Amino acid sequence: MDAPAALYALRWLVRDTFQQALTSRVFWIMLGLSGLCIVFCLGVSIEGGAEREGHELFAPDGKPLAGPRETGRLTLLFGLFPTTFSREPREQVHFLLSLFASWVAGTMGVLAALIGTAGFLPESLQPGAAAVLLAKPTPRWLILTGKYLGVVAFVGVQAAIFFVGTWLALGVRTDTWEILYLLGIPLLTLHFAVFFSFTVLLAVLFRSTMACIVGSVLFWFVCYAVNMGRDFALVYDVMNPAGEPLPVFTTLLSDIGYWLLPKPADFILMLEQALALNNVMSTLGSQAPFRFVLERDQFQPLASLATSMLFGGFALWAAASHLAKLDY
Amino acid sequence: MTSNVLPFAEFNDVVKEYSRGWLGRDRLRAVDGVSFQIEPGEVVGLLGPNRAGKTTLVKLLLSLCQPTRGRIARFGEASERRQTLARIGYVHENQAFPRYLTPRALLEYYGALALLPEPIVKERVPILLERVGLADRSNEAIATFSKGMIQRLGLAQALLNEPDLLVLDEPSEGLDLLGRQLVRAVLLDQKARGKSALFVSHVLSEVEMLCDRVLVIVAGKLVYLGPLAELCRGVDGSLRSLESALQAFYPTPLSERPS
Repeated sequence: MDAPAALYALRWLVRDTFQQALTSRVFWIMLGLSGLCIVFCLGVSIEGGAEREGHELFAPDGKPLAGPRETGRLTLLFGLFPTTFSREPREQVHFLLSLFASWVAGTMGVLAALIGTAGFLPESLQPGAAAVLLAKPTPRWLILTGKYLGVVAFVGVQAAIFFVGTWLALGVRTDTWEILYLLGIPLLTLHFAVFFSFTVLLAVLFRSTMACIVGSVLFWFVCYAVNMGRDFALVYDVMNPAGEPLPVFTTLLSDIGYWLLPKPADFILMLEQALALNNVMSTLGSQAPFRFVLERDQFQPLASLATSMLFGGFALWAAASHLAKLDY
Repeated sequence: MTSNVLPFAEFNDVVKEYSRGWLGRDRLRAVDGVSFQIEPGEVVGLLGPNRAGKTTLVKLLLSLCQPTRGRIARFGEASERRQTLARIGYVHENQAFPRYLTPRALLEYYGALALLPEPIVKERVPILLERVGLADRSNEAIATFSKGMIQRLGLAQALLNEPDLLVLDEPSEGLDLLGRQLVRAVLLDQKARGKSALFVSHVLSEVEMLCDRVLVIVAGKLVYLGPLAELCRGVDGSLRSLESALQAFYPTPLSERPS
């Protein structure tokens, strides 16, 4: 195949899918949600706050501080909801950033993106739409790759709008500019890309939007459970010091599951690590068992990232192989 | 027709079975031992009742499905070589194009998928839009188009690569008089340039007007392959209409079945 012609075809496939997303309701819904978060950030104001060394609500020995001093004043929604806080002001901003990075974008955002884009491929693979497309000389794997990259690019743009928007809004309001927060853009896009490759496989197998939505969301939760289960097994001795050790079979099984499947919790932990949010109470990394895994230095972000991406590549390869043999 | 020129399409004892039922254990034979060739410069009509296997035959030719048995070649090469699809244009009977694209964008997109170089696509798109009568609506979303306009757009995308073999699966469906005249003009032009076409249609007058040879397929089997004139000649040598000629192959007409 002629490389410039193949690249031209790939460019059009990405562009078409991107345009498909732009003209769908998904674009406006995701943009609306990002807009709400940006407006929320614009309505935040922080004054005063406690001055602490390093650990916000914990003493340096890791124990919670007794009777926190509420010296800061936080107002939300342009002064409508005043409240107090006992952190250092910068930590209070970190607290808000962690809410957005870990829970709003890292969890709800990825799930919303998976649900919203699940119908794109089944729609393109319906016989009426696909027959003319697949009768072209472009290899089927290239068509699938182009569609996949188009959806990932769309989610990447949405992630950029969300992270840049909330970063700018919070920065303007609090004068705290955490540039590493923007690492959320590639991390969230990668997180989505890995799971969307599984959606692509479901789309090729079933050609049904419903199967893609249910299957993708279920798969995300199963992977999250396996991720958490393996971390639990890893620090079981810390969490249950008096208990019997776990059977070898259980730890082995949790290890196999962990390394074979994508790791959604790890993606969130990576972003928290990049932002040095270790001590902010609202983070995933401050919850057991993840906290103990981080404390014991047993978190391996690069290996985790590489194996998650390997799974994504495998799912895409399986989808392309199946599509190549599929009768229309 | 010279014998040293390779046929544009060649089916050799092709069988296609689909899996049906629980666990796919039942087999439905859609095409049963079909052999034929399409030579350069001829328009071949593909006729048969509904569910006879015509669309499956077209899909096999375009590698949209794989044969269970037998050999298919395009331009002398095995059908596994997708590159040969670059010499084919295809109009689907129920085309569903992305509704959010404009005709111009759609043609550029499909030109790219036909692996044509970008400058050639850019040059041909306005010419083809003019030819199918959509030049003045080239920047409107396809969502606003009627079925006839979508069919004309389908014809334009099939002509982008100036195909040697044009496969038209019921192209006149939903077309008005001008649209039908356009299909005829395209087929005659194809023939005049020494290129070929496979024309699937239930409109017998069009088949009579345009086709050199016909394939008649019934229940997956090829029951007639030959010149139209021969098909229309009765056993006593008298001429009959194509409809009466086909009647001999088709199942009992619905109108004659007991109520």
